Amino acid sequence: MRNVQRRGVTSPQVLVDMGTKIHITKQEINYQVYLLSSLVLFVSLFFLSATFAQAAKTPERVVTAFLVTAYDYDPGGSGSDIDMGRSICATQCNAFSTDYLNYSEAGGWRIIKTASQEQLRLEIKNPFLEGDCLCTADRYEIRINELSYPDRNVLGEKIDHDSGSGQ
Amino acid sequence: MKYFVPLLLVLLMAGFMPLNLFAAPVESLTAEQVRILGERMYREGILPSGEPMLAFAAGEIPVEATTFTCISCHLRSGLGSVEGEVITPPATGRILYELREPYMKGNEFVPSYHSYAVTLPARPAYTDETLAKMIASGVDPNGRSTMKVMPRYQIEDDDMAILIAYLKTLSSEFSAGASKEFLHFATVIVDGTDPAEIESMVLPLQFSVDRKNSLATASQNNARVARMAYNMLGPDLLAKRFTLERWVLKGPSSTWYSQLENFYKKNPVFALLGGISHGDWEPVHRFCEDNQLPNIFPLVDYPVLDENNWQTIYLSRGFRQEGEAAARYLASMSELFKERRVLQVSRDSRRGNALKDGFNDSWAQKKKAPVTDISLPVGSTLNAQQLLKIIKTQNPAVIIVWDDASAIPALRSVAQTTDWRGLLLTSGTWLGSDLWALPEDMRDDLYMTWPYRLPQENIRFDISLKRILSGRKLDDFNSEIISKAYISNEVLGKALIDMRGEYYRDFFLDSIDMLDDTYFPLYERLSFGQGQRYASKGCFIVQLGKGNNPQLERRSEWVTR
Repeated sequence: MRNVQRRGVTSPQVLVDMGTKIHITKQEINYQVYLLSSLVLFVSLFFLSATFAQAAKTPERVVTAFLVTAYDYDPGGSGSDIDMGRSICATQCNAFSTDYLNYSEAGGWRIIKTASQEQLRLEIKNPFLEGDCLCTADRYEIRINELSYPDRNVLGEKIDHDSGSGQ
Repeated sequence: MKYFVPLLLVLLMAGFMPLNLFAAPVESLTAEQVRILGERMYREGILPSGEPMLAFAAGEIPVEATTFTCISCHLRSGLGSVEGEVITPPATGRILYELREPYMKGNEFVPSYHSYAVTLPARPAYTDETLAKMIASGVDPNGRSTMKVMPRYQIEDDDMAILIAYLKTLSSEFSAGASKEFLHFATVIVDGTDPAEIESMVLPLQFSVDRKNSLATASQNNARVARMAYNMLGPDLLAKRFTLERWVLKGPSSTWYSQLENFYKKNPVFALLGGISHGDWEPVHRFCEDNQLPNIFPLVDYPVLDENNWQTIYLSRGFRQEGEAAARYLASMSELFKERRVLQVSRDSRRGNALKDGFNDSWAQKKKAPVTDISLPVGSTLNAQQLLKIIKTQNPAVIIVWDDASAIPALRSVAQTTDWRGLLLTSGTWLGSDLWALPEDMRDDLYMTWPYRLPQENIRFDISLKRILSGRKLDDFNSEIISKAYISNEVLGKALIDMRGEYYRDFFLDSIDMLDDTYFPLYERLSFGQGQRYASKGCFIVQLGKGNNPQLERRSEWVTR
């Protein structure tokens, strides 16, 4: 048994709680009601605001970008000229590298480095040479907050925002 | 023979007559002669005698002033330059002969004016004597040496007087089109241009003008707006109203020059903004040169290519730029196919010829063997069989086709040929919207020139364009044209702010030249520089990716001139 005394108690009441008689004053009930209703209100508001926040959240698109820091050429047994291969791969790897200013200058972005000095093997894409280009690159995630979301692609078609292609 | 020596003497005297005249004291020369001679000293480092000025860099190293000209740092307007943290002060008489204080009178509280003014050291006003001493010895009226940054020039007294007289006239009166209340602009439209294209070109320019005028009005009624605008523009630019006229040129291009004269006579504007023509632009270009009238980013397919011209700044070198980039891209790998030829098939049209000429000129500059040119008559379609026959007989290493989308079937036939190993290249922009529907089986083999930012990376720049649409839909406009005109609008604003209330046309162009490289819609990057008249200098080589919603994939970096 637990006696709870509060100042100003006028008429004690008895509640059964797991077989235990508990004396709780009227004011204490009021206090607990307030507490409970506040809790309910708080939880409701929390979920409500979370729901609203989810709904109102600016759509975010993630673009993977590579910033190339080095390049090399792997003739892969083709016997192709190494120097020319390197020259072509310099172009190829530079072409693969993202100019992040294309994203940042338009506004509403975060750039997060997700990998350093990753070695990527790319097909050389040159009709006169065989082998692969080896591009060393840092990998980034560019998270784009579409403050004013584009609503068309290059063909003038409506973009399905859920697909995330963003073209 | 007996007349030979006297005749030679007469000829020599005749030849030297102008030199004798130019060697005369400045008082004996007309204002126009002073301008011509002084301008040559200032811009080219050439003395009135025709000899190069002698200069001493870093105090004692003799150099020819033709490479260390005044204009290199003080710029054409003479109003100096701001490049990063390096500030070159003005060299115009109007400013030199005034006391310089660490503030600009009337603009003390404008942040950009203040930053500029406090960077330059205060000094007393120059006199003719102290200015001559400064040019000759590198010591300013404060006794400070400028020898580390400015050469000393060895100039005789008479020539010095001419140079000083010229500096007194340099940017001494505001250019036409700029008054205390107004800055007048016009845009040139060639009659017959698609109205939707005109609307797309004019909208950003009109927005710029309207916004500026609204700001002037709002700042009179709202203290907060007034403060913001004052900080941004300064009191002078803030109070000015802009006007924009449309000058519509009608009839054959041979009559445009006189039409422009009439327009200009009625309203001598400060500058031409934008402008649009799918054909000729040369008369407008020439009119601007003759009248010292700047023209900012006209939207033309065939800009006038003259590196010595000054007044017109183009966004690019037009269609030709794709041909030039293709040549540079192929030249970088030409060692790989040096035994084989390059075949160039081009439509016999203005666009086809611009691409072909651009390629051939750049290819020749790289000292490569001439290519085999085949011309496609207008109205004919590129014949796949003919191309395959050439491949069989000549086995070219590279086939370049400058043609529209009607060439796609022939290009596809070449791409599918298994017994040919080579590079197939065309203009991506000329294929138009058909580019996005290229058959999947040819995408790996077809390379294309692309003079813009890749569309998937450009789409976010629509945000900028939407700001000027006032609620209208971007789809209602030609996005390429509105993007280009948007750039004119932005550059105009930036340059005018940088001009600090000095409304001289040369300084307007100087201020544009001093702008940082910028990322605007459409172009990968625009770069400016003294005397550079083509802001976008590059092009990508691309291929079309896989799938139903393909993207362009870069195969080269931004290939620049």
